[in-house]
Amino acid sequence: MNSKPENLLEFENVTMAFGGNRRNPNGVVALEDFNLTIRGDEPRIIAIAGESGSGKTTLARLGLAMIKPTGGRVIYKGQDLWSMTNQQRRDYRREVQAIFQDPFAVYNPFYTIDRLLMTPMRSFKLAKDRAHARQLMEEALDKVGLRAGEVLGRYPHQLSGGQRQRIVVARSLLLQPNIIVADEPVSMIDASLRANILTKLKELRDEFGISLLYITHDLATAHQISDRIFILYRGRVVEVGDASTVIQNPQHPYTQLLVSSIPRPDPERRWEGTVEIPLEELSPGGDRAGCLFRHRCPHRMVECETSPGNYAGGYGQTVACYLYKENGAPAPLI
Amino acid sequence: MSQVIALQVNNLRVSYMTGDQEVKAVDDVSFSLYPGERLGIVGESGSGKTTLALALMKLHKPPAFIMGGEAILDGGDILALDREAMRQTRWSKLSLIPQGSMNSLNPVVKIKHQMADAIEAHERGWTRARIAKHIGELLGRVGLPDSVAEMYPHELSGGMKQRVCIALAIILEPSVIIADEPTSALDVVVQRVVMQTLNDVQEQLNAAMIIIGHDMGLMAQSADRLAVMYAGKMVEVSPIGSFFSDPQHPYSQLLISSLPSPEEKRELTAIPGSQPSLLELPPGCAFHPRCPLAVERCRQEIPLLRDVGGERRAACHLVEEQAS
Repeated sequence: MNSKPENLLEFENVTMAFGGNRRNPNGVVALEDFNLTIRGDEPRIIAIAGESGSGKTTLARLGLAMIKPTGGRVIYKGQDLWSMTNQQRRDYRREVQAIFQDPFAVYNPFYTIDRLLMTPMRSFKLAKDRAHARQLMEEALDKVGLRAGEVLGRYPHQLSGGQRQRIVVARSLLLQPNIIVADEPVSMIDASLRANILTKLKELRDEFGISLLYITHDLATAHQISDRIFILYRGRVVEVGDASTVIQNPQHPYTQLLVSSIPRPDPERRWEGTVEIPLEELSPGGDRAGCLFRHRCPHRMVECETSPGNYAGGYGQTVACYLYKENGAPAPLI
Repeated sequence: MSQVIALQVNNLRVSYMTGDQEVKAVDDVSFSLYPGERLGIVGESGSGKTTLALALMKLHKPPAFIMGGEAILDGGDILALDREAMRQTRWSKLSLIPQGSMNSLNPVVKIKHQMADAIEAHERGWTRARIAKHIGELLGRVGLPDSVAEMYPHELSGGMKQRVCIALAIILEPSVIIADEPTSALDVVVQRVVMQTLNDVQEQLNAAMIIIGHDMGLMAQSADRLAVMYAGKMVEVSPIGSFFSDPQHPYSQLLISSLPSPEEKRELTAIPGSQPSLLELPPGCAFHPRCPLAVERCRQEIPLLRDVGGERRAACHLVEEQAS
């Protein structure tokens, strides 16, 4: 497949394995044969959802060129991240930004907020002079609903978690990126402020045309803001499709388990039945033959000993499960 | 209600003394807890919920001090107990599953020895065989195989460690269990399994349980009654059903409308502003600067937690006026 220039970020059969030795030549596979395209013509929010060990943070790190894939390619604007010229790499570093989970850990406690915002402007020479820099900072803070007077000149410990996370968003905005990779951006934010950050993330798409790779374990927030969702299980995509479709009509038995386990804020709809987790399944093992979910699956069949292909799920999504074999091949993802 | 009460907390106040300032982390909190009941306590970080839990166990450390109030358990005030008497009470009558408790296991001691320690600290006369049998039973109750007793914490997953902590908490069959964020940092499916386990053992013991957390969804799934804390005060206590169908306090109402739902996509409403610093609380109701309904009275007079009918209590002038 030739990558077209209108595609921004592409994952092409990306595999990432860690470690590996004589006893276990493949190492621990964190992500296997992963494909994803973020197009340049239409900004989108793409959710990557899964539990710990599903490979979602590995995926974020691959997209940010923090680690090099052991198989396949990660491509930005047609260029492999790991064979870029200096200029291409510079552009990529400006155009793809990151927001991390812990708004308390990303700050150097000795530096004021001004310095945090000035540094990227200096490295990318965004401002003509001090006055212009100040103006850009104020604009960026304004976009995330913060008043410059409230935060500039302050130190991180003087700000709340919600304010800090919004400043991280403002910092990304300064650079006018095309893509933001957000790894669990609201999981450490208090409930009353979470909605605020989520709304801001949506505005990034709607007002500034920025695509978002939203990495989360929280299906409810993924449903609220995302256009498309990928459900990962132990490094493999088990279901992918329109976010509302997948969450309202989950087809893969694993997605069904995830969706039914969401603690719904509704005492009328409590969890039904009991779930058992086979204990061997609690620690990720090395064996990657067959469907990885089969040990926990209520529909396990003989076929599941070999890895399933992708089938049409019935509501437009793609499901990697033999239950949907008769539906045939899935529709291509648009 | 003329019912047996497992734990009665009256006017509890806990403060952090910083320099010459007193930060009221738990400010005049009162509630009753009935046997077999699960009371959820929710609040944002800094609302005082963990301080409350630690103070009830008398595990708070300076600069936190209990400034007043009482906690009646088994006819006596536990806050008045001396060190040794409190040590005896902990675990046997009142136990805590602390926040991040799965990281509180000693990494170089086998699970069975950690569990035996807790038993030996209270029951001197037990033989080794009896202790081993009891440990096996406890692990079985939380759904773990006997082999876990011989393992070290690093050999267990997060969910298994958390279940070991639940087993530890019920070792002496307490009448009150306090679980502080029992499932934070666990995956959604594991969270569900751990909550099921916790609820099962609590029901078997007919113990009263306080579940502290910030996840409203989890509370809706488990709690019988829900208490909301804001800036050190309890602002609403209601049965779980009416809390979600008809929240009384404006803060509760806004919290519920800010929750994302997996069923429908809707505009999320955020609560404007942020929680005030406990060092500079606004006068009157601490929530009034963020409250869309605030009137002049809210800026001047601190509302008290009052009965508003239907076994509900709320600390809001407006709700009170409507009810009367």
